[in-house]
Amino acid sequence: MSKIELKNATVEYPIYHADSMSLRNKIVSIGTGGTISRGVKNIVTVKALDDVSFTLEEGDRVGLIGHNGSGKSTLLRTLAGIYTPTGGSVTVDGKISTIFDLNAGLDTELSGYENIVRMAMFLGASGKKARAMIPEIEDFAELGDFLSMPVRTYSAGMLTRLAFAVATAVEPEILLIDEVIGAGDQRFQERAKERLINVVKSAKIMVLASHSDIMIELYCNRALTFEHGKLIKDERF
Amino acid sequence: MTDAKNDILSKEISGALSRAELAFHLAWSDTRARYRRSILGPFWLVFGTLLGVGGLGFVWGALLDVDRSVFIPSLTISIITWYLLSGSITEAASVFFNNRSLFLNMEVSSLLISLLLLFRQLINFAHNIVVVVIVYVVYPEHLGWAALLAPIGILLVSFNLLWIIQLTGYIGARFRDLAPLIAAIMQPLFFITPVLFRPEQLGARAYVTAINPLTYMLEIVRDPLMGKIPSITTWAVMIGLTIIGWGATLVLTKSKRRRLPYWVN
Repeated sequence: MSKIELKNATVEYPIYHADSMSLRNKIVSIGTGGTISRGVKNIVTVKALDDVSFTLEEGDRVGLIGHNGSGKSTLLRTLAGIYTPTGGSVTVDGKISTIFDLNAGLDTELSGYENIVRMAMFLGASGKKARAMIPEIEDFAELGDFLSMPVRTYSAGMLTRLAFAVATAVEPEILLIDEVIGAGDQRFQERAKERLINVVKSAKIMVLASHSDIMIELYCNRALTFEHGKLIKDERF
Repeated sequence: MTDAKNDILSKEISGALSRAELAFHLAWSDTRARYRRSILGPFWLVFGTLLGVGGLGFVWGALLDVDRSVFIPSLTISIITWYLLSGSITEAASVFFNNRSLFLNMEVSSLLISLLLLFRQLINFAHNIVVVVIVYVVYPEHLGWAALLAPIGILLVSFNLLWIIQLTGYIGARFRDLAPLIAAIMQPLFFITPVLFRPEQLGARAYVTAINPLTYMLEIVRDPLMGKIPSITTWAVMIGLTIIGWGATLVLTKSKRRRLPYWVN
């Protein structure tokens, strides 16, 4: 039974700039009794999520809506367990798969095949499982002999095809997606859409952050709207 | 809160053990990628070590007027072990920053990332063992039963390097000055570690090698391969280092693990 529950979750994080990252400032501030410590204490804190509460049940396909910096990506990373809330609680039951950065784990010196295994393992598969995924990814990416070539020889479109094929080859319980940007030619776009719909369908819970109303309408049955880290609207459709 | 914090450590350790395969695979494919399109591949490293040992053996052997059958094997083992130590320590300060894409894409154990760096350094070390084999073919005199202790020494050194990487990694992620600082310190550290000389040769100043932990990490690998059982002091220091180092590292990991993603972001 998959479930996600947030109770008054708040995520505040410090922004470290050059001054506060420097060991010298720390030492100088000890030596001078704190007179120059402004640079050290002056760590700006950003409240990226502010007192957010909601519950997601199986079958929920949630779209996250909001401007840049409204907290969508922070929320996704908090759900993924990357960020820990500084206040309130986040409870997640179920295995999480993420599609945040299509190129995660990619090494352009290695061949397409080597990258499939590397990226799939990066995203959580065992070595054996990653190798077993090759034929299916090979089929979908339609890169033919290019898969034996170093990835640095690929065009941008080919790279997206490979990365997208690997990222979506998961069998997710809870799927978290951050703004997958469409690329590749027209035909690939169509196939990518179809594949993403299938993955989303197989997930028990899906959360998608997107700026595109079309994507939200296509993939989701519930939308959460954020503004300055606060949840301001929760609607089902 | 205490429960949650204990949870951090068990997650860190089980997350590293259960996904050690990933760390090894990434370390291995990093190594392959680095030497892609070169003919010798990772054996360029071996070639470099061979040249280094040959050159130093030639010059230093003449300067110090020592027995080559002792000096050359000892120098070889010292140098490849030094590469392992200094390589791990130098890269440790930026290990989390360099692998930030792992952090920002999923929940991952920071210890697993330290393990990745250790594996990469051990892969290099394993290649360099070829040089030791070549040297032993030429000067077999000192190979004996004591050599069976060498794997234990290497294991103990690796286990210590893991906490050193993890501890340095955390501090280096928070304070970006640490990486250049360590890079600057490694050179003088090399001179007070008995890689090119024996501590006795320093006379009254031998204490600088005695207070340097790297001396013992070097000896515990080198002595068995030179037909000598490492001294009680060496074993005691290594075990002490293991306990104190891991203790401090686990405390730091427990209290700062949650901050780490923000430091490298």
